[in-house]
Amino acid sequence: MPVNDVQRRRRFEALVLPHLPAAYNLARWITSNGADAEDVVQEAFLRAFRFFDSYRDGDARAWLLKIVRNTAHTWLKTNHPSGRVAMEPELLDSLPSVDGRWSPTGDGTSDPAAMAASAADVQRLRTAIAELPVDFREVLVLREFEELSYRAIAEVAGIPIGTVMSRLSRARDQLATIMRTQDGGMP
Amino acid sequence: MTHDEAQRLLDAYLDGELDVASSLAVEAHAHTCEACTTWLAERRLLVAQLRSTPLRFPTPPGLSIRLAVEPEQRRSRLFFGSWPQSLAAGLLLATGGFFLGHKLPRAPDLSDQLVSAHVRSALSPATVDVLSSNHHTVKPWFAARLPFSPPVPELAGGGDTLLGGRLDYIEHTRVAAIVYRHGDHLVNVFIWPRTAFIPPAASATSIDGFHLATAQVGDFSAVLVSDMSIDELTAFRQRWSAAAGP
Repeated sequence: MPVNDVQRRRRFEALVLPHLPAAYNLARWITSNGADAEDVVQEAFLRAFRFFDSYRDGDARAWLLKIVRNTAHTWLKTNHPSGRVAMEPELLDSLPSVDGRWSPTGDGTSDPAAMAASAADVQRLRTAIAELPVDFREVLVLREFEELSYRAIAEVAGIPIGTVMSRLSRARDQLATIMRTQDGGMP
Repeated sequence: MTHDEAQRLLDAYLDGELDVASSLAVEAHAHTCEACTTWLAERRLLVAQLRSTPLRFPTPPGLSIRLAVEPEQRRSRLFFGSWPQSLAAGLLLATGGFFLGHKLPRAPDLSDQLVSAHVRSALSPATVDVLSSNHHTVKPWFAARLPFSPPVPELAGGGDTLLGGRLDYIEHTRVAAIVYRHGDHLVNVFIWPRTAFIPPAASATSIDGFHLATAQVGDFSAVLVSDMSIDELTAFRQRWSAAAGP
């Protein structure tokens, strides 16, 4: 095999493949189910490898997530042209549970009262985010879970920074409203 | 700055996305405006809750990425049109490890093993097996599982966070892997008793964009692996070695 193909593949494995978790998470939040997210991620990685020569130095994760986001939206247009995607029950069940290794304080203690309160909050948040329109949801995911800057989000989503700001604000407003109307308690 | 102008910028201000002048103007307004102050406090709570709740979907352990297209493996609902011919190399990359379609000419050397272990840990949903920022939890966890008790500095306050630890297997030896986050970067610190095997040379080296730095602490050898820049990793090693103590 030619030496530069080996180099290319090793470089791809080192720079792009480690961002698989971010890719899967974004695809999952956009497509709302695991099987389609896996398809989208597979297609996105194929395209990323094909177009790897267009990647210069810089944020490999943002470069990859742009491809994932575009792939996921093409999937949405093809498979759900009406724009309505049913929220699958597995969406809510397959996130990591609050008991076991994870605890809010992160120190391994398990306080049943704290965990019970958290489990309800977690469920509310998951549902609330899943109910956001996809354009708001993806900006929220990229900001709060992938911690991208506004500029990077603008690049990934192909929108102006001003649009990133307004969509993120509105996404947060909607979540705040949903959380407030439950149990009378603001988180 | 008027109240209406400030309101439009509050989220960006909270996210640290405003330039200095705008940021100061928003702050100055908020000091005199109870509505904005309250709004900011509530928004910070919401964002903190979003950040601290486990809402990211973990990658399914069985997910494997193919970088070559074989027609019989595509599911019928894939939607893209005709693909180009298969890429020259057929590859199957599983999240648990790497498999190349041809033999490597030599066994992986120590630096390759360390970088591979680091990358695998970043790919895996279980980067750590003990998830804790508290060395009183992590240190005994290692002591119960290894014939040695490595130093586990917490490194609070420099932009570094201890995420936890796991066991790893390097040079046919069970080693401790302590995991930190520094900004966007993951750092694995592999530690073993210095009598077990010799670490790579102390000057920093690089493989495929990942950097390694070696340190000696008491009876232990440590190698730090990360994709942060060499300068940042060298500075991290200083902090880590100082905190790990003699």
